[in-house]
Amino acid sequence: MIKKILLFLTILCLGLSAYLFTRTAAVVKETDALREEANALQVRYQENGKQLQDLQQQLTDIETANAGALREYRIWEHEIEKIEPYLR
Amino acid sequence: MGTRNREDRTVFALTCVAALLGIAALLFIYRSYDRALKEQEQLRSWISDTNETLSVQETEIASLEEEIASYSDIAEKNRKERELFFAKAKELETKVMNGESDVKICYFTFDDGPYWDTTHIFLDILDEYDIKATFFYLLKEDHDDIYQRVIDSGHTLANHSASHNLRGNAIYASVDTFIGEVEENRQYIQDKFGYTTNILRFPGGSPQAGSLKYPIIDRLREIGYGYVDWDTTTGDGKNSGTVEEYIHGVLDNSAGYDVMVVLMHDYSVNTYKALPTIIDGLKEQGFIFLPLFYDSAKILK
Ligand SMILES: [Zn+2]
Repeated sequence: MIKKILLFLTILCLGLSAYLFTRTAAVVKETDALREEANALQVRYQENGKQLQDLQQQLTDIETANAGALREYRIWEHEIEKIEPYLR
Repeated sequence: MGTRNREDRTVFALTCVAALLGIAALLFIYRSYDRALKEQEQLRSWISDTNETLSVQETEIASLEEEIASYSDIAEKNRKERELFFAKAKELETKVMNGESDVKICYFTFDDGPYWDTTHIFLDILDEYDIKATFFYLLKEDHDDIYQRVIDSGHTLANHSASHNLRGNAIYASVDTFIGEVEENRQYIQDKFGYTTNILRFPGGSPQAGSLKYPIIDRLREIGYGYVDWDTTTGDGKNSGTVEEYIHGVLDNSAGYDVMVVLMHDYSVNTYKALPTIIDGLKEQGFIFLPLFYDSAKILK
């Protein structure tokens, strides 16, 4: 009787093992695909970072070059803000 | 019987070993499976976080690109914004003159500068009160920083002739003499600072031109100029009054005006001492302060 149970247990374990083995393989395969996606995202992240840095620098340069014009713009913007309440 | 027993035991032992191996294999594979699942889960959460970061990054990139692009026509935008302000100033002035507004408008004007020693003090006070005014300037070389600060601050720079030479009324010797001076000063400011003036104040005021006043005004109109005298003044023209006198000069004479031009001079120490009190007093009387502009009703053509 015990022998039969043990045998059944063995077969059950092997069966489950086989099932889990195929599941694991499937998960690993999925993970590989995800890893590829992650690598692409990582590349995009780095490229974006570089682009952001470039744009920041560009903006700083352009702001410096146009500091006078920018100040002038702010003046008129501010004067308009000041006068507008009296026009309502 | 003995042999069977031994065989039985061997088979039993083998079965036990097989069962143990089975369990061990199951545990081992389960651990691998679990680890693979966890790894995948980690990766998925990393991907989702990274996607969020990317979208933040990309929004930031788009807004930076937009901001950078906005500089391509900044000069044009400035011109439009300035025009818009003066259009609104005109609208308000009209409302005030038609009695459709509770506020009154004061145009501060400062004549005869620029002055190295005093103009900056006036500009500092105006900055502090966030007020734009109008400066009627002569042609003075080596005063670039002051002209530039007046322009950069958004004050109106206007023309008060080149020399202001009233000795023997020399500047009003003829229409051509006078217009020549106006043109000379206008050209100087245009060439040196790229700023176009189109408002004049006659040295001594328009009556000082005597019989030439109207012929001069005709010529001014031809060259795109208007002119303005004043409604009230500190009375600092001779630079000999007290701070109190200057304060009263403006505050005691402003009652009748909804739109008022105030004459002052940026060489006068007592005027800049009086200025904060004058500003506070006019504010209390309901005035707001604007820089003059060509289309203002105060600019006669
Ligand atoms: Zn003068």
